[in-house]
Amino acid sequence: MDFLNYLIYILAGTFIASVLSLIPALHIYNVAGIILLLSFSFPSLLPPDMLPVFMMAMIVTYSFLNTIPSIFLGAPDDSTIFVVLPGQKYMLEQRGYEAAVITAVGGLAGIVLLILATPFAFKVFPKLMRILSPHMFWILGLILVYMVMSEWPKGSDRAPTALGRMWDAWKSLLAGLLTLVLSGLLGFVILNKSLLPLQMSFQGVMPAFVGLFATPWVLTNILSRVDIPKQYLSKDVDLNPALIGRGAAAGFLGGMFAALFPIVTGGIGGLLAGHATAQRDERIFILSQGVSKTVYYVGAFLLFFVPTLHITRGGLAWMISPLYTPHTINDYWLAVGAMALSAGIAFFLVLYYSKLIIKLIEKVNYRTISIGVLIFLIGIIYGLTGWMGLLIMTVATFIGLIPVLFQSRRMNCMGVLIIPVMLNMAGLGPTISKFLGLIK
Amino acid sequence: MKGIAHFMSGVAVATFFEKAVHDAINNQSFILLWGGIFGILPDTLDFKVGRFFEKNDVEIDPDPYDTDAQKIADAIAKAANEAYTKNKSVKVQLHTIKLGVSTWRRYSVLFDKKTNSVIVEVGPIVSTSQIPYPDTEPKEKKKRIGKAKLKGKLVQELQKPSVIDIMSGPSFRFTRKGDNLEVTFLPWHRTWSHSYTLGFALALIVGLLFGWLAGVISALAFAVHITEDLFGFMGGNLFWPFTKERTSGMQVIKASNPLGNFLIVYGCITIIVFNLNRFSPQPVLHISWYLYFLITFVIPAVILKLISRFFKIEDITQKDKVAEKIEEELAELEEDLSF
Repeated sequence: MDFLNYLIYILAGTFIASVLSLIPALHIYNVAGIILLLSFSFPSLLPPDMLPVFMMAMIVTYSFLNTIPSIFLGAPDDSTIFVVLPGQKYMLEQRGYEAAVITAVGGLAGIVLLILATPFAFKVFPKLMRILSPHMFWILGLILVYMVMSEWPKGSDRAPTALGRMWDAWKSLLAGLLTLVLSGLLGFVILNKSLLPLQMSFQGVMPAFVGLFATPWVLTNILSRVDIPKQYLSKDVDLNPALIGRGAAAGFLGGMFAALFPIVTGGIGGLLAGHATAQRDERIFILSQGVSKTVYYVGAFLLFFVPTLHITRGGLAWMISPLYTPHTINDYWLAVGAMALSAGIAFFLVLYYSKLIIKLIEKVNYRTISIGVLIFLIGIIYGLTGWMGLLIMTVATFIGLIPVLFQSRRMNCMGVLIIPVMLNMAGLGPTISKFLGLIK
Repeated sequence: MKGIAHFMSGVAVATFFEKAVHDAINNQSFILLWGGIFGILPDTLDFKVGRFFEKNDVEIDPDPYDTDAQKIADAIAKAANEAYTKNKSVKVQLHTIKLGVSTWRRYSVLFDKKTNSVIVEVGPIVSTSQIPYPDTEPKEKKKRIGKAKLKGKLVQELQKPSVIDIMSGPSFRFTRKGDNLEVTFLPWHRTWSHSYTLGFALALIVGLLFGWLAGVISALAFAVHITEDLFGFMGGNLFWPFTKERTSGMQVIKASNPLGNFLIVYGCITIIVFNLNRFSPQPVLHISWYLYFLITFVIPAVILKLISRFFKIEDITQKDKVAEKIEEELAELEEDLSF
């Protein structure tokens, strides 16, 4: 009976998350928060002992399927070719489906590696975390410095004067810095001022994230009247064991790094691992992003179930920690089982939903879809967080437009969390908040 | 070496200072960041500042609508021969050929010591990801490959073609040295920015502003970058402004080598963890240093090296095939035209 119950909740988590993952910029953590609130009101609907497997299925499915909106609904126009991700480039080259499949293969590889890494999780991670814990703030600072210093100038070297050439190249670098600083300031405001209604305060960063990462692309798509080429549904993917091995290794490193370190996302982890392993092939990049994303989301949650580790990483673990505590190794294996089952289903759902969304963008004008997405985003932000949420989203959108317009790294928007959290960890947060007039 | 390898080397160096690690733990100091900043700084100075102030004597900007390999070869040879005959230094900037928003025409330049000439091959159209579109090379063989003789005996660090495709192109400096014509690739790179003296001067400023330890960490991180680069193909102008020339590298590691780069980054991480543990008020690991590095670095590195042969992949940009292609094309053309 227990087995059947677990199976039902795993399947429910998988299918609910599969639909929610298709909505651009809607994070599973936001939905999980609402589901948890509902479970308080209706405990029979989601009993506490079913919570871990249900949430595990949701996070696994989300990590696989959120690829679809990022490839198919965030397609930029070709003037932004220097800043788009390879997955979106594939979309512009009629290979969006292939990109989605490669990412899903990466997701599966990530799940396999997570299972294989279990002995390390037990032995190595607890020790590593005890050594690194007092140093988290400067490690975050290090990541920030590297993100800034490793951004490549994008000038053409054709301006007649030295200053002209320098300005040409530094435009994007300065835009990146400006994005980072403004995001950081926004982060200080939203983390220090309770701008949202109390019952939705846990959604604090959601309007900022939607504004920083989703609405700028949607607006660009509406304004630039992007024309999506007809997508080719390939029957096989251009991968071989060597490519999968390289991509999986790079992605796993990045994802694990992100899972272990607070605030570091799978994208940042993937970037660092990509640089560290000097990968140039786009197929490896796409695959490693799939691995990194899965290892980051799922790995962070899985760490919660490791007996003796007592590590709470990622929003989902924080949310369920007051309601559920894993006690034995059996809890860990149960989580692993839920992870493997939902990953298998999610892989096939990526194939199915990708085809579905390709049909949609073939039939409906892409601009119309973008307008629909924008209206939906505004509606959901207003519905969940009210006028104040819309205001935060609007400010964040202006910041998020800077990297889009000046072709700098969008990852700089992550300053919204990294800067305030890093400075708070270093004990400087209150001083800066006082200086900004956010606290007395 | 890649920027991240230099960056991590600088951080690893910084963690050798017990006081710095203690400052980080007890006073929430960001002092260790100086290691990372100065570890990557020499390349930042080059690629984000220095290169824009380099004054070129000749700019070669091939016609995107009618790219002619012989014209490019002639223009390069003219500049090189002028350097030889007039006994002066001539700098040449080669520009990329942009065809569309995300398409470029690739071309390659080889300074061939065997024939003492410059050979230019116009290649396929490539995407911004440097992936060639099949069958897009110019159809006319004469437009595809060009060759021009150089005066003086050719001397250069690299005997491989420079592939020019996306973003911005490379520059070369031609200098007469006796009867030789020296070709310097990227003459602005690894010169003043890669000198121990400059590192010391900049670190002195940091030391005066942020304390002596920050200065020492900065100086060492900068020096480690320059020293690491000596293992590559290009060296550095080690004591600028007292020395004027860039030295040659030891050619031990290629900057783009994925395994080499990864092992350096990974090695640095193991050093950082080792140092943070031993300087912690309550160390977690209690094993000897040689056992620690044997388990965490040597054994994994050997395993990686052994299995890396199974993970070799074909270069999707096909840049590695350019030299081979030039030779093939040239042999064919020599037969046709009796060069």
